Amino acid sequence: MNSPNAQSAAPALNRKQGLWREAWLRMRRNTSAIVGMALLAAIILLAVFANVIADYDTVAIKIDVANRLKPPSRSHLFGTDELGRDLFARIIHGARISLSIGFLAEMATLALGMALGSVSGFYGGRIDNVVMRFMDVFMAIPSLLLAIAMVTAFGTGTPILVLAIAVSGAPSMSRIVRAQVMSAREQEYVEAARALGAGDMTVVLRYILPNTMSPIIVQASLDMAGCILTVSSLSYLGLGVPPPAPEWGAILSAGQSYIRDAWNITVFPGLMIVITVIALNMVGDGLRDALDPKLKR
Amino acid sequence: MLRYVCKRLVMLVPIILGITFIVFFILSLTPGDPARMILGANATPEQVAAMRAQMGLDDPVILRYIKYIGGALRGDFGTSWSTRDRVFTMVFGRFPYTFRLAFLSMLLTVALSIPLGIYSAVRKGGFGDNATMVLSMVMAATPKFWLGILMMLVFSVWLRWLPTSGLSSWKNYIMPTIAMSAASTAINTRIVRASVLDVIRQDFIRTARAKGARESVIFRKHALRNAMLPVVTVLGMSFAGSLGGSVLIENVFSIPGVGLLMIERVRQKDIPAVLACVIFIAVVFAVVNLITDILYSFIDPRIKAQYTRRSAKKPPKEATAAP
Repeated sequence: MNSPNAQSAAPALNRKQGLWREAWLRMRRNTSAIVGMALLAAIILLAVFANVIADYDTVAIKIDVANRLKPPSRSHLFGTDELGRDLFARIIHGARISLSIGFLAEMATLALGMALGSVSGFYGGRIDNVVMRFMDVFMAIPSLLLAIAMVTAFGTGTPILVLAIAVSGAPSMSRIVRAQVMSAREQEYVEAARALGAGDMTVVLRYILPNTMSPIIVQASLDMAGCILTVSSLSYLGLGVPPPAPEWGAILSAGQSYIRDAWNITVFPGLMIVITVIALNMVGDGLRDALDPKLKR
Repeated sequence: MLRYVCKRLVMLVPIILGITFIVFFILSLTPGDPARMILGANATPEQVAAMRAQMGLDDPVILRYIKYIGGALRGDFGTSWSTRDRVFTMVFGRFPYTFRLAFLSMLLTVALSIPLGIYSAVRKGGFGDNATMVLSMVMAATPKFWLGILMMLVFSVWLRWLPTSGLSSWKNYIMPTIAMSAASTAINTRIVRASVLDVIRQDFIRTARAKGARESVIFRKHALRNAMLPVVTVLGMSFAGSLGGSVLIENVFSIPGVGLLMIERVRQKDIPAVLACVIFIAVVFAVVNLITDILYSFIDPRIKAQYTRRSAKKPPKEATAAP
């Protein structure tokens, strides 16, 4: 949320800043986008300062059987889990895991989707056909199942999770990029760049992609919510981040066994997932309205 | 029309081959020697080598894939590595549970999302609309499995109204069905709402008003009929989504469907069983999507027109631009 500062610091209005400044001005009037940004900022702060609030080694994963399954109290804000670990500490450290995997996975999805989509949209013809038929097949597999297959084959862990989510998310991203590149390809500025002797790579990377960013950014921010849901789903199934890492889905899965003794282990991590996903969706919707006013009804 | 259906059916073949190949290829990269896994640690290297040859593990992936598809077409999906059962019987025996749950949740989605969506669109901007939209936003963000656990906590542990797991009576299906359909109900309510709002703004509604038709007639005869076209998509999408989500819900409520089987076998590294489960769900998913598309084209006269016009040798472009 530093765009207002950026705009006062750099009054020179080139094209790019103009877009972002305009977007920010529109977004500022959108209450739900602002609420979403505030929520997201709070979660990010909790994640960044997780170690300051509660140390990972001495609080979040330290087993203390004497204090197991305690209800929320002043010393344990969200109570303790089945091994006596402070649930609040685990949940804020879980925010770290979810946000970072979600972010990495989205970046990987973007990289894959933009590479495939721009090649496909820029060259068209046979290349386009081959790439898009391939993407059709990937899109026909439910993403959770594709991720499960990849985790079965390569084992659990962050890199595999990121890869699995990227592979299942890239096809729809590549379609969006492709459509954007196809329409930008015919624009005059591309012709002008060509006339100045720019090669294919330069045209795509320097002229087409920067001009087609808005819908891609919107899609990415909405996709990230989906990434976080997928990570927690896989962890719930025991196929995500291995224990003792306090991933939200993994905490939920352990908590389900103690559902008769302690409600807090199953309620709080789920609430965090819902809040994070809603915040991301609000920001994404706000970005869409702000960056692409044509789409707004 | 028949040509369209045939075209779509033919297109399904490469898609299914593609799906099976990708899943087969990914799972074939699993490290570890399955022959050793089946025979146990005490087997001699010769026994392992013989087993590998018998299982065809030394062949290249493509060859193994062709053999697999050849077998699959005859209903032979191999034998399980952990129990030595026939995979086909195993998966097929579990399918009714998955199907029943997907079907029930599709019914619930349709029964809730259509009236709610229409209500929201008619009362656009009112309290009911806003409440529905907020609720749908929350539901779309709620993980299916957490909703399931939460309901279990409230209705089984605290209120003791419903059983947590097992399938002894119809009561066992209540919570899984709701948990499964909540997210798709939320999304589909939005789709129905948007579709009704879209139709209300069309020119033919204005024409109907201009010729003096009563509001109720306009709504029922002109608006609703057109707005209901996306409902077919709603049906298909919710059924297909439930198939994917069955993995989660079946695990929450210990329902012995294909999804639960898949996760059990993932833990045992029983690749043939996992492969069959994934392929099974993905293929049903693809077929349901195809049926949805075909049904849609039957119902929407604009798509039908596209094909009849083409046979009358007129450019199909006009038809796509018309709506």
